[in-house]
Amino acid sequence: MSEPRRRRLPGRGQALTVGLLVVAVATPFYVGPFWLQVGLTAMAYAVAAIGLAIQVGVAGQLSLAHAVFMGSGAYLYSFLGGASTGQVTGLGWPPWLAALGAIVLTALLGALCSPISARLRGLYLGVASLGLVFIASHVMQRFGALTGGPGGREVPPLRLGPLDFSDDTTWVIANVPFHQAEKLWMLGLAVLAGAYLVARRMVAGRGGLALHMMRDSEIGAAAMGITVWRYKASAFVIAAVYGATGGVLLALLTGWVVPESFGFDASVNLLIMVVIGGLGSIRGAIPGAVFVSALPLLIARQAQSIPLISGTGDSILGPGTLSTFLYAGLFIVTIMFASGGLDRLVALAVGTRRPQRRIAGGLPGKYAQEG
Amino acid sequence: MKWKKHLVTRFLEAVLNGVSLGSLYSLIALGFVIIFRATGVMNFAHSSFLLAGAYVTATVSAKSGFLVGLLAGVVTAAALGAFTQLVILRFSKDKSHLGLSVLSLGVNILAVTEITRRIGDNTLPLHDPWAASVWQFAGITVPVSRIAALAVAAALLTGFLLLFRFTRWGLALRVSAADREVAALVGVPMGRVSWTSWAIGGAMAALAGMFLAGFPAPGVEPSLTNSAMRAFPAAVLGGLDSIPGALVGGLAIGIAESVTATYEGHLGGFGSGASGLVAYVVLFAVLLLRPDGLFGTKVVSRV
Amino acid sequence: MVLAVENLTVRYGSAQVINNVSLRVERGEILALLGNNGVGKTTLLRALSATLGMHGGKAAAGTAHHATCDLLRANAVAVVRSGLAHVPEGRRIIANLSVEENLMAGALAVRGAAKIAARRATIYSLFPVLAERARGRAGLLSGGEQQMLAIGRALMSHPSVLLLDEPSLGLAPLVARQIAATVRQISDEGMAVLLVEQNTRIALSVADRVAVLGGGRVVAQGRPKDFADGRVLAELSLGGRARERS
Repeated sequence: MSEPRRRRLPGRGQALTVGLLVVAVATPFYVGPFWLQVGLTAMAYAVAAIGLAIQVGVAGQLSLAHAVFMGSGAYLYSFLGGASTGQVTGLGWPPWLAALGAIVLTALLGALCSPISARLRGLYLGVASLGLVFIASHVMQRFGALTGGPGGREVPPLRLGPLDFSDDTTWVIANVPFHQAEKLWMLGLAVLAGAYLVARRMVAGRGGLALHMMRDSEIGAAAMGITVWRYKASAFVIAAVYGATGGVLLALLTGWVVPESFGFDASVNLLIMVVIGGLGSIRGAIPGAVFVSALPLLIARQAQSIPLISGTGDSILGPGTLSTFLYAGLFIVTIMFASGGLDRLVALAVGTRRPQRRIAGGLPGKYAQEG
Repeated sequence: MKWKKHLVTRFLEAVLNGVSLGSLYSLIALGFVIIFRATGVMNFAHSSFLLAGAYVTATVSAKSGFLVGLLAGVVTAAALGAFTQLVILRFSKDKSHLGLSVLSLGVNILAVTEITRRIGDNTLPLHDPWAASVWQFAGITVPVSRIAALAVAAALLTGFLLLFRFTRWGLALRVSAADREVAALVGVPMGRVSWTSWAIGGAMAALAGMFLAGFPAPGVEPSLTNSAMRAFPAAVLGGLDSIPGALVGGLAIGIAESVTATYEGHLGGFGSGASGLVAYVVLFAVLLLRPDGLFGTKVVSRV
Repeated sequence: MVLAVENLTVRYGSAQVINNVSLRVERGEILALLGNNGVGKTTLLRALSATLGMHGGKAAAGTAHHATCDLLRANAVAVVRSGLAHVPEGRRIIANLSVEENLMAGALAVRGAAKIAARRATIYSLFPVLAERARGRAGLLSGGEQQMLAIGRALMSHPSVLLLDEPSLGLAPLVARQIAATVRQISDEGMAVLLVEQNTRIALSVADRVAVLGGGRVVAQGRPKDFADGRVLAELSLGGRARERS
């Protein structure tokens, strides 16, 4: 008797998901390059943000260094797949192998963090992760041969067998020419969908439960037979893989990587995406990423029509500044009053209710711990 | 022989500058630790307090003289600290320490973005009395601003240590840090202890920020926040809840940074700018050996 | 009447821990509150000292007054200033501070240096051993001395009501009896004492009246002599433990 009832709730969610997917697939047939760029940026950040949502929201490991993983993915892809020129060296691997290599090597970087992460609790880890940000940006600035220094380096276009994601060839699908942006849109969509599904499975499984327990109490989790350091390390590796994948996507769509894209501000923005999305929520990370990454682009485009902002360089309030005010404000309001974040809105639309979670608070009701 | 003497004086200069820089880091770290002890929050907004203090000092002292400017800067930063506690953190529904710490990061983003917007591409001069003058003795050259920084920081740090030890405010802070329930049972006005701690932390950050923006630094720039970021490791290094830890951690990082800055030229292209990283390298090394810092309270947990 | 609790109900989330409890403690009187582990004795004390919220509990119904202070609405500072002091379970002295600093912590809600110094002198004369160890670290005191320090700290705020949670816990019988005698002495000087104890024997020996808590309710009240026969307490859900002790 409970069977049909259990099916009905996800039913609405499934309908909505399918609807969104159809719209997303149809988008490149209808919209111009600006909107494709906005969407692609959002997708790249969404993939990375899902990884951070697992690390911070599910496993409770505060990280202010997530952009380092994105940067690692972006630079390693460019290094492994790019050609050597006068300024920078490259290994010239086939792009698919370079992308894979970038993700695997970044995962290794995540694993390398484990001796430190295993020994530190929440807040200490947050400060230690700041160190990773500064060391990484030093490497990006100074290892000129690999990174091109402050000026950055070029990103080789992606080719997967017969599929060429560069601007060299144009696909024509249903009389619509597919240039690089349209092709990358489809790729990004596929990667995001895959990343989302895998994350959902991981969090719902036994490993996800272990991560949850670890967040609520490391000692408690250890008492339940969970090898805390191993799960902490795996949270870092998962975050690294998602970060690197998002980084490769971002590199592909910008075509050029620079250190500023992966500094402290970028890491903080990723954290904002996850918090606004609703901590602990995988699906919330996606609207969070869309909001934070698209806002500055949209404001810049509408700059002429928004008062307070002038389009010239001597502006009273630049688009970047205004959007920072908006999403930082939303970030504060979310923590102060609505820790469910955008996930709650999604839940309302879909018709399911999930328990509201706090950043480090225990599970509600009978699982709550004293202290 | 001459070459050898040069080597020694160069090293001494580096250490002396390091002690001075370190005393400023100690000042920042101490404010950070006071806030942590009183409220359990890791204040990620500390760099914005520092920047706000230095910015107001620079703008006000341009018109009204340095002392008035300094006072205005310190008061602004203290008010920003008190505001963060009284208006933002106190009303948060999420009261977990991690939640409140992340909330302070939000305050930091807003404040730093606003001040950066006001400063723009400029570098604001401080109008401080010692400006670019230097002291020379026994072949060692040190900027007067660094000596002044050391003197002021030493006086302040001593003053606060005495306050901790011998005043009711200090006792209230120590009791709240040790056991919040006992603090409530004996009637410690927790709200007042919290916001005064935030205000004091802000004021100390502003003073340190003013010196950090002075010579040999060019003036107040948004990148001043990076200096505050180097004081985080100083606080964590000593153990977040330890007052002597903040002092030792700050000095250690100041000296390490100054010595590295003196010699990083020998490390080739990769070494230049390495002094900005040393704080974190030292931090990683210490945390690998002692996860609770050098002087931090070992956390004993029960299931 | 000094402390009056009427129809108090306390909840932790959806769990009701105290259920419609009414109590009165008069000046110069010791009311012993007995009951098994987990019947809500500590919770009751926390409700009266405004520290329930720190543990996630909430007074859902009823009233509690001390003099003119509404204990359920006042904050912790107001409660202490009204003259109610709570010695928590496990003593909770602060190990890293000196004995004197622990004592002075008890006066943080009190104003007037001269008044505080006089009070400290009174407490040192009540517990001379604390005066001897004043400069030493509180963590180095013995269990009995720590209990004296915890009581002394509570007395620093000039209370007229003292809530004592398990003062005999973990102490040798002789030391526990010494502490009990001191509590009696304090009470004889006019203090109203609400004493929570597991050690029924000691509780019965010092108390003027006894209330037994079971399942969050007051299941019996009376004079100590009414409970002198261990079987009475045993029947009131105190189990075999009371019989062993008596």
